[in-house]
Amino acid sequence: MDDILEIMKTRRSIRRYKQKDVPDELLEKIMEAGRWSPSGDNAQPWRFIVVRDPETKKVMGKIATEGSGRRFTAEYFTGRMQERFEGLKDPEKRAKAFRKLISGVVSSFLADAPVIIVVCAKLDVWDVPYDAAMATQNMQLMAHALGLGTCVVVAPVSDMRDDIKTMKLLNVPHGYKIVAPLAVGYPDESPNPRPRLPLNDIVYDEKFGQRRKK
Amino acid sequence: MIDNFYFQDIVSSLVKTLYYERGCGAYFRVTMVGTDFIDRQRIEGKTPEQVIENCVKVLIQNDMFTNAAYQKDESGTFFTFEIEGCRHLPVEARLKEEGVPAFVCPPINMILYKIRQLINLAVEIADITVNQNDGRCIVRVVVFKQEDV
Repeated sequence: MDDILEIMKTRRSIRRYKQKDVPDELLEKIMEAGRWSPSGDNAQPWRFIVVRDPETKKVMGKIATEGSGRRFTAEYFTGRMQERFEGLKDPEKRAKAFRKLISGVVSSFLADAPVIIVVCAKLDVWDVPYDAAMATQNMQLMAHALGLGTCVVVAPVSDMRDDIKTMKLLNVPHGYKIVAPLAVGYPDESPNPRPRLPLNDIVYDEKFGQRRKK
Repeated sequence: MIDNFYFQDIVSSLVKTLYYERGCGAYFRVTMVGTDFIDRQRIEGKTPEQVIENCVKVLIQNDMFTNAAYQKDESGTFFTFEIEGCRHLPVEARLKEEGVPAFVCPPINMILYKIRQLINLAVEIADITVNQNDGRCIVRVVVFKQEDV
């Protein structure tokens, strides 16, 4: 049991990949992990598109970059971004972070991932987002266990304006939606763990807000 | 008899439902709400200002709102709209009372959609403030040329 917790705790969102092919056998294992996810009514609404074509990845990266660029430019002009980065005191680092966000470059790495597994879901089931999200998580954990890195990049699909373009690019038909484009590849970075809230701050006894007696 | 209050009930319920499903991310799912309407109108313009003025004219003619004024900052990127007497205000006011932050503004969606369509600039709503007591909303948006990266 400790092994699975270790896999969960050491998984990171990877945004820089080695330019090395991911063998089909590993991708099969990742998607097999997705296939065994729970789903309401056992509907198994997930469908996976494996994207390796550089041109398709390039277009997805461009859509992602534009989407993030719009979003973060708006955030910058309202001052919310400055508030969010209040803790970052070094002006040079701060400016660099802002540039990365405002330009949308923060999401452009999607184009450089060796593989993108686009997790889609059928809409004629009861629990679409939950089912597909659980499949995505299973796949991320399996990829990590296999020595691969992943990152969910929602930028090409979170905004309807971008979603429409990405659906068209990938020929996703009506009756389906894209839930999570998942970048996959061999990690070329080892990010530190992001901070986690302590259990005591997020677990309640019996009713919301009631602190645990410990 | 079905009246405007009925439709306001329905729209506010749907918006609230979406917010409870998606939280703040609901904003990204509604950026095209209203654009069908403006697509049926004849709008032209070669600058953001021209497009805004032409959209505002059409929207006032169609009783969408009674007035819309805007200012832009020195950078020319950040626009602040003040919309008065909007058809959607009663819905937004109700949502605000129920603790749902404003995340959809169909008239501004329409204007931004046309700016994008006619002059290919990047557009985004930054925030929406509903002032139901004086019958107006403040909507801040960015309009800018997106560089190829």
